[in-house]
Amino acid sequence: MHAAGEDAVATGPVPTTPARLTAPRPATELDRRFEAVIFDWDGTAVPDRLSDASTVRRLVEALCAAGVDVAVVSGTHVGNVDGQLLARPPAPGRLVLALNRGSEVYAVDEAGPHLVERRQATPAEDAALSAAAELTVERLAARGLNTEITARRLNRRKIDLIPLPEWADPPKARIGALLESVTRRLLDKGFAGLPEVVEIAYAAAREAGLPDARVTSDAKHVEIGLTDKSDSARWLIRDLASRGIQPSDVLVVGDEFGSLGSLPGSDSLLLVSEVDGAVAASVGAEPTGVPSGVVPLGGGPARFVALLADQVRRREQLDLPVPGDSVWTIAVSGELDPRMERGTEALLAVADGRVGTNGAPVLAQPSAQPRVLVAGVFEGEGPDTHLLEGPIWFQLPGDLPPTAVLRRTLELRTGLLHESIDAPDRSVHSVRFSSLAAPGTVALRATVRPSPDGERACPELTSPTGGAAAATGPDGTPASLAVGGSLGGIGAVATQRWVTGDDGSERVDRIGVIEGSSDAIPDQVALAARQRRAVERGFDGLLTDHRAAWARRWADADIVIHGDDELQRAVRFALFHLMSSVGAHDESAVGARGLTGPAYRGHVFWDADVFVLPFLAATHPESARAMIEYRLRRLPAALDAARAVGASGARFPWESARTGRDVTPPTARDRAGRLVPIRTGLLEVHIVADVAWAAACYMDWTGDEAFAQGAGATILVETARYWASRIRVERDGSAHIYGVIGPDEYHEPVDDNAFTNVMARWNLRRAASATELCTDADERNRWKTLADALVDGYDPETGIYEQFAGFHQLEPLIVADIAPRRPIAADLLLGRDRVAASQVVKQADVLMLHQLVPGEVEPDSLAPNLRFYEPRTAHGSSLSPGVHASLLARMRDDERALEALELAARIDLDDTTATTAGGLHLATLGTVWQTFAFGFGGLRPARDGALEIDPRLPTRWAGFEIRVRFRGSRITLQKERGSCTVTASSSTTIRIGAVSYEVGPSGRTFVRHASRWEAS
Amino acid sequence: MRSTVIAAIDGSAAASPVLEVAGAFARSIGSSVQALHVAEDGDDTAGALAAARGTPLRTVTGDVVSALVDAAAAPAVTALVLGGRGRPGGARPAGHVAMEVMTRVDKPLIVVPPDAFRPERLERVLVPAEGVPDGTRRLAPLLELLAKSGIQVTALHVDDETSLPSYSDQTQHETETFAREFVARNLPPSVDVELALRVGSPGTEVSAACDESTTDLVVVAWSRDLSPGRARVVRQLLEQTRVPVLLVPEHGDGRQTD
Repeated sequence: MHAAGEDAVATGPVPTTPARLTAPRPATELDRRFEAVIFDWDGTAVPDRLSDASTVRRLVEALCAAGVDVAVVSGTHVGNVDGQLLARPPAPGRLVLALNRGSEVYAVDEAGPHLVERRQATPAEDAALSAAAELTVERLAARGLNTEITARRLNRRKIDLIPLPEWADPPKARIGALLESVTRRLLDKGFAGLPEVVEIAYAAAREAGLPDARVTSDAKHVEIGLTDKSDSARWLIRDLASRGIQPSDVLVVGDEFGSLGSLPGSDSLLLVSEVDGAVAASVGAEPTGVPSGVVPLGGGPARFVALLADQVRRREQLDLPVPGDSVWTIAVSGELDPRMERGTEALLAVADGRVGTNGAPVLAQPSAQPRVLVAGVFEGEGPDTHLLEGPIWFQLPGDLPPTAVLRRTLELRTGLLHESIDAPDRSVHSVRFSSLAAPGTVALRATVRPSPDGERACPELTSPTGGAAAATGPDGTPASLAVGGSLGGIGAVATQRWVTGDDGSERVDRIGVIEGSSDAIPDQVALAARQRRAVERGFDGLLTDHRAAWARRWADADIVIHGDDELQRAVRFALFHLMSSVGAHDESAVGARGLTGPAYRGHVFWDADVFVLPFLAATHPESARAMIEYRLRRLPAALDAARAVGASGARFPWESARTGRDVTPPTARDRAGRLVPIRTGLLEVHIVADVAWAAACYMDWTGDEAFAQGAGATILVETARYWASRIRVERDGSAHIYGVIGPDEYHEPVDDNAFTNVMARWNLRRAASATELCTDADERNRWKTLADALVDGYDPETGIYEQFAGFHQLEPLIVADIAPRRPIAADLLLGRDRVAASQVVKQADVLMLHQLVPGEVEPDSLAPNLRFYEPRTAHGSSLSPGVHASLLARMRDDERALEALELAARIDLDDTTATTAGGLHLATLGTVWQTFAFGFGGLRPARDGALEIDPRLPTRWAGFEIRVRFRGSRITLQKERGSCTVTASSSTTIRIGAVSYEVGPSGRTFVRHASRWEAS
Repeated sequence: MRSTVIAAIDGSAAASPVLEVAGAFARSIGSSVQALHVAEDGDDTAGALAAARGTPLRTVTGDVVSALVDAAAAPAVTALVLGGRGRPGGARPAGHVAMEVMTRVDKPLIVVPPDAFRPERLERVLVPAEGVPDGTRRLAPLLELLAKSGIQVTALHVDDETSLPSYSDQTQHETETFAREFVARNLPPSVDVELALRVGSPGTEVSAACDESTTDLVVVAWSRDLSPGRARVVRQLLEQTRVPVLLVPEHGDGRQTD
């Protein structure tokens, strides 16, 4: 039988299919590009199993070649669908066959179909299916209805309700008559109709031990199975999500969404809640209408073919992808605001870890500053070393019309920057990205209206300083432009391709590659070869790869907040820029503003090691490793720097750039216009322990033994040696570090800064315990002795660490008493001298220890120190609020934690410093992640290989979810009121409430009883 | 018609610096100077002073303030220069004539203290920039003109308690980053302006900056509103500095000036 075929009419509860039917609507929903098409086979793509599917085949292959994901959903088996379709599509799009009523998935490539997943019934389930079918037949027979079990298919049983010769194989066109005959037959025996039979089958299935059975009917049969089309739909949506495609980018086409008899249509099973947001259209006759939300097209397979052809045409015409839902976007619209423009451009930067491009409009505007930066490509010497700016690759010809309405939308999920410029006589719509899948590859697609002469002649590349431009040569040679520095430079190669759209607009794809080096101008021939490969992949292919790469990153790093959409957006904004600013290959020099702006000259501070790196160590270890590689390659400079001051080991610089020698400017004008000496370069030596801490952080999250035994050990040893040579032991045996600057830079120089001393102590102890293979016992013993002798200012009476020797003798000012507000730059408010003579603190100093090395401070010392220091803290460093948010979260001080978190999360979104134009405060964004991971999540990797978890849920939220990678396993922590659930992709030891548990893919839930966590 | 700078003089000692400042300013912007004297008592000291400098003099009669306001309204007049210093500690920051003219004239007005520095030519002008973009942007045409004649334009931004930043991370980079964006946001892009920064009370700091440096002229956009609580910086400048103050009226009230 192939009439109703395998596309059974759905039965039973279909929660997302509203019963209300609506009048046909115009198909404007279809007037757009889709990223994926899911369709039913029989009746939708082909009239029947014997018809020629060569047109569908050609279109499916064309769609896949153009980057569209295509999925066929059918009740039948692969032989039937693949045998008829015979598509052998090329990448980058993918063809998937979701068959056998939701029980099988095949991926099809040029070599044919490959099984991806099969739901395999257990012997018990199989037996239960048979029992359910037999029970159903029995109960129908008991009421006089003769039926037969006709086939045993994969995961289902089919019962023929009308086993009569005249209805042996009804064609689909006779479905109405068939339904009538079956219904009459049922009514004759006293049944209420098909729904009652279905209910009987459900009851039988439950009794047979299948509480979650799927029962469907195609009028002739009632089928009991383990899966149905809804399972296919769920699988496909999950799969598309893993490729960065959301339901709103999906077109679902069927022919039976409307009800048949009193049962919902078979294709309505596709509309499960996971599919919400997709556009659904029916090409079927739909005699009873379609459910609300489904576009009724009619026209059968011919109309379906036209739909596919339209999508192919859109790809050929370079149609733009459509921006996604707003929870995941940062949008700036209206006329360009000259005051805020440069800050906006930083917010909307797109970067791939290697190349960063800001969000300047594609058309020139005097207040805009188009900018391209390449990670670690510096120019200049000493303190003047700064990031070199690369060729501008995304500009289109002409100026931004003054009255143009500009809308720029950064999609955080996919790293796409959409831009629309609409003016009375001109419009330019574009999308651009920097490929996370192929860092250094950039792509722009634009639609320009109208298309004046010469529009196509615009150069692909222009110099960042104006002047030089490069356009594709007459012989078709790609545009090539290099910006040279004194030693190195940034090279770019790009081409563009114009087509004219059916609507008369001009459309362009521009694809470029950009690469830079501080030491040499990149080889343009090699760049050109890379660019050719990118062009071969094409805009849509690059987009497919890029989107999938972002989907993978988010799957490992997302934070979900239930109950605060604005904070949710701000948190994702933070994570987005943290991810895009750090490359995973070679070495990553992460400057204070990442790839989002030139401020701080791109110099690398402890911001990178302590504030940015932990996020990457816990979500994308490759990037954390590349950051450590940056330090490692500058180890020789650090060894030299130590020797130059008579010390041993490695003295890493406060500000680092190209060479690894310190590039801290020695003087500067402050905001009051005074020329002030800058001594951080000389005295802020805790950077040495910070670098070691970062290496340990990476080791603890990843368990990377090779690193721990090799480069990691080297870092620990050389930093420990530095401290060993820097510490002075007095006659009384106490050990000290004199003349330093701690994180609280309001006081300098100071002796025995608690943060510096305890970090040095941690550094010595960690090195002593982890470097047996490369150091001798005498040296390790000396480190331990020194560590034990180092004073830390702790007073057991009060539980307070004295921030440095003599701190308690300073004027005991509380910031609220002397400042109109907090945070405030207290050094500017009160003057440097007054602040230095008082207990006013710039940022967490002692408290940084509780954030970084909680095992190295006295147990329960967080509360007294937070009570003592927080009121004295001006939070005059942008790092301070986030660190306090994290610590306040540990203390269950929800309201203040969230207040501080808000400050950190919105620092750039609200441009609270008026300096976002220079780039985003990357380290502050790092503290946002730390507030969730360390603060609310209580996540800490322990030295013994367990992951400690101690979650706290603010009362304002309904729950939250944190994802991390830990020792090769992908961990999800879901916190709800009173409980939490931990899942791990591979078996992982977690410790919660001081008890260790093994957690795997099926997860484990813990319930809080009083103050204790217990496994439920 | 060549633009004219009017130097309003009386017979007092204040007339000399007014003539000199008017001359220096006119040279800087390519204008000519005309001295204007409102005769009240037949004294010809003003005439002698103008003649000594070769400055053409026009003498009119009538109410001094009205005469000056009328003269300034002539289309060719680009600026009016007059002496003005109140008694130290007096109720007004400038003399009563200057005060009245200030609030009525809608052309740029230079108020010259009697003990003003008198440069031969202007070399450096100071522009208080309070972070209100329209204030300094409105000055753009004038500043462009001054810059074109080689005058160094320095903008001064003063942070007080209310505008002090929340964070000052690393001074060696933060100031530079803030200053670059401040200039981009608030100062006319067409003029090469040097930015100076201070912290304190704006009026005091601007006055102090005038005295500390070799400022020849302070340029201030102002609302022509001297009511209590308004125009504090203008008041303090008029009271405290020895630098001529060029007041450029804002046109927020919708009145056309030329």
